Amino acid sequence: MNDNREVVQGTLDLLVLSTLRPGAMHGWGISRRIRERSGEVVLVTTGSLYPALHRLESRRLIRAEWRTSDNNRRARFYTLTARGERALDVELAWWNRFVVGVAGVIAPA
Amino acid sequence: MINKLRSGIRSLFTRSDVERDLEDEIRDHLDRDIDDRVQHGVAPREARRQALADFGGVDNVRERLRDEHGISIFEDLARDTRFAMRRLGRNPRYAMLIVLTIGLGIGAATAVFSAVDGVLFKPLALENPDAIVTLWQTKLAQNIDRDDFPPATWLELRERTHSFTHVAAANPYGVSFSEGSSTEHAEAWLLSEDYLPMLGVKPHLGRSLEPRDFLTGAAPVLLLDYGFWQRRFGGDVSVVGRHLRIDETSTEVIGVMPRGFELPEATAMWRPWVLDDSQRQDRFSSYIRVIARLAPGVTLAQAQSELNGTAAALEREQPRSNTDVGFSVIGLEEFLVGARRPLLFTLLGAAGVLLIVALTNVAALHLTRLTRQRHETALRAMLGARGAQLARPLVVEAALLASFGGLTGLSLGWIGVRVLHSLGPADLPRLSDITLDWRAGLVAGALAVAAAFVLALLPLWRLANLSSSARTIAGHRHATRGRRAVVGAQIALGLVLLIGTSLLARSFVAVMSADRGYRTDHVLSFTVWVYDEYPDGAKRLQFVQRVLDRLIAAPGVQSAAMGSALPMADAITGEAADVVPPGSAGLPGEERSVRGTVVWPTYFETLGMRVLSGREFTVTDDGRAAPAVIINQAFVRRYFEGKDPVGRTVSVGLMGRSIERLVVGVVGDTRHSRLDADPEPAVFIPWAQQPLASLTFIARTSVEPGTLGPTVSRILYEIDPRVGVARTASLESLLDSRVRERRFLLVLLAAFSASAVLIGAVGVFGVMSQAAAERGREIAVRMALGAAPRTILGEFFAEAGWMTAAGLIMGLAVALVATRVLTRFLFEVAPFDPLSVAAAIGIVVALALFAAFLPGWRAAKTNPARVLQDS
Repeated sequence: MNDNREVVQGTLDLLVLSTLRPGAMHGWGISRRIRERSGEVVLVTTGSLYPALHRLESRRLIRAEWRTSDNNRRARFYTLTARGERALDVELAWWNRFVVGVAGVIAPA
Repeated sequence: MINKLRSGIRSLFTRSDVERDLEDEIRDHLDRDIDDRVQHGVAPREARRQALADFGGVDNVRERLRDEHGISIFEDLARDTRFAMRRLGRNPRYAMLIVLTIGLGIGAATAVFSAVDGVLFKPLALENPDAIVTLWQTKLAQNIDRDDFPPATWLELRERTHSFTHVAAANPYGVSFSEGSSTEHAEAWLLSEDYLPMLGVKPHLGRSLEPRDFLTGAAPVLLLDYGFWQRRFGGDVSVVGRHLRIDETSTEVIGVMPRGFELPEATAMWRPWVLDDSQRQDRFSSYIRVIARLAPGVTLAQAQSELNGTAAALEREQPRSNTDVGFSVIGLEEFLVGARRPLLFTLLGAAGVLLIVALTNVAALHLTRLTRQRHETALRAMLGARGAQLARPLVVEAALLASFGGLTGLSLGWIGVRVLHSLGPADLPRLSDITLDWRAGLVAGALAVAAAFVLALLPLWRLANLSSSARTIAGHRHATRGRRAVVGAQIALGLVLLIGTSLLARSFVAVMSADRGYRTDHVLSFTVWVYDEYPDGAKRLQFVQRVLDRLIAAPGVQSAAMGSALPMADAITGEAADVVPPGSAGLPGEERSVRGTVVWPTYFETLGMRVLSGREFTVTDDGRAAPAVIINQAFVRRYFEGKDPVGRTVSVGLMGRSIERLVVGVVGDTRHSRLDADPEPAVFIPWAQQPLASLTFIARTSVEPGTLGPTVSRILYEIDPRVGVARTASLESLLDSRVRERRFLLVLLAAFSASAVLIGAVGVFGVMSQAAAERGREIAVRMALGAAPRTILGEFFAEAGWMTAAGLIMGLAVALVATRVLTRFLFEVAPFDPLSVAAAIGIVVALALFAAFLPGWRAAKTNPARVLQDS
């Protein structure tokens, strides 16, 4: 696990929002999903995940509520709001341009 | 096992209400992580270690989450508040003392501010009130500076002057107001057409007077006063449109004026004034109150100089009426409240002194306590608390104490305003307007903030010196000296207030016990006006005789009399009499004015006035007999210089031409309008020789005079339902209203000085207790070595004595200057009356020594063995 990296600055919100697109999920689930889907390359530390979640919540891009999860435990579930969906679209468009741009820069001429 | 781990993790968190959500979420995350690892075969203990490690520091995350939510500042504040509350809770007496002291200071200041603000500073509820002025006639040769106008002169002013946009007039025209089976007299003013429009006052209810109400033959209408409407109609809005019986005429109520509208003075109603021709030409009867609005850009001085020119012109054209008559202009606001300024500013000063005493005492108490807490603060500093961490709880504590103090102050201020309402002089303008409004709240708030600064800056200053001086003996001495100086200053200020109070108290006693020359107990009086009901003297005489007969026949009445005026009654009923001194040629301008009263023969006896020589009037002193006059001692002193006046003649004119009258008797002096002024010269004329229509009846009673009011109303109604009864009052209550201002000032100053002196005593007590605590060991050692308790107690008295003596000297110096402001309120007492000063010093010394005695006694009773064992 040595070649995994802290999330690139500015992309954490994008990762969290897109992870929530399929449906509601709690914090631990989000961090696990990001790790698994990135093939253990992208690691989101709890120290940045939870502040990000709360920041997104305060911007009303996601909504949080306490629900009972599997095995009867209460957890704080996060859901994408309509506003969050729009923000995600904007972020995704920006990300695609960004990737193309970076690729253009680093591609051998 | 896992549960145990969970509870272990749970114990990592202190559960606070604010953070519960965050904590739960973090814990949930950790639980899931541990479960996950355990399911993957990691040993529970190791799983927990890994989970915590991966989490990256629970505290760290929590801090960042708290930052994200911005709760940390409030959290800190909440923690500091809890801490401060706990500290104060440990010493509730101290907290109470500080809160009460601040509260007293702020309460007094707030209440007095409300009064000063309401009376002096709030603008009058008029359109551009600064331009409204009052106009007066002056007759300086007769020492009259504010006389009313005859109607013709008012009309001349309105025609000739250009300094004013309007010159409006009001005519006092009391009415009888009948309701059911009683008729009462009500104060009323007739207003000129432009009066209300000029002021820009809109009625509270209904409509104002309109031009159509001033047309000859218009339906009679009236506007009600707000207070009268509340008292007589219970604030019933349906009264507008109703018809009242006013002077036997059905008159429609068209509106109610706004609360606090009291122009030209407090009254019951206003009606339109339609001048008739005789009024238009009347240059001699001065009864019109004139008010005007300055034209834009015109100053008072310019208006005055134009009036001077007009007066000179009128003097040339109308020498008969206007010789020596001048005009003056006084701003309305100045006219209304000018005379009250000294009273209010004296109160404001006294409240300010109390506030200073309160705040310095709070500072002294606080310093004492801080000294005691030196150890705690030092300990916390050693344990690594940083400067801000040390300071913050102290600041929060200060803020808490100050807020509670401010709230207490507001409550006390609220009570204080009630007291002002019930005690205030009835003629204090706008007294009913005084409320504890947002401005007073602002003052209380500002003072609380000031208190918080005092409380907070002191410990911070101490904190800054913590490492150096405070621990050394020199530093300690320094602090002690500072406290003593503060206590000395408090004693000084307390003494100043106390001296003022005892001066006023002595004056009050002197006024109340001054020989007034007539009795005030068990005397009832009331007034009727019968100009229209009984125009001729013979019928009037019959009316008076019938009223007197019925009064004497009434149960509880011992004797009855009548006169045109009463000692202490309002100016309206007192008349100025022109006197040509004996032996004088009676040149114009040499007339002198004295107080003149026409009286029924039983007048002197009923009022208990002494006849010193000659005789009283009898029923034979009537229109057919030779004109007679009775004079008082002051008159004898001024005009007869030691000669026996009885049998001589003096020329007296009362509301008419002067005629020669034979002096038949001399009566004792009486104090009239001002109880605290020297008696004025006065003449008394038999009513039968000059039957004036303004009749004030007096009844001496064997019962409480106030209980006879209904009887009087019934008797008068039965004799003549047209006649309204006015001003039914006992002489006691009239006397009471005369001394109201004096008592008002006395009571408030007494309350302030009592508070200040008590606070000062608490200060002495605090400092001495502190000394006792600090010297506990030293005293114990000395007593173990044989020092007598008496010696120890003596030392405490000596120390308190020095503080008190220093305070007394300072206080006397200040009082020497400060009591001068009271001069105008003093009566038969010198501004630095030795007895008053001695009494004040006695009270201060007694209280200070008592405050020193308690801690000294405790110290002297110490058991040396126990103290030494403890340390």
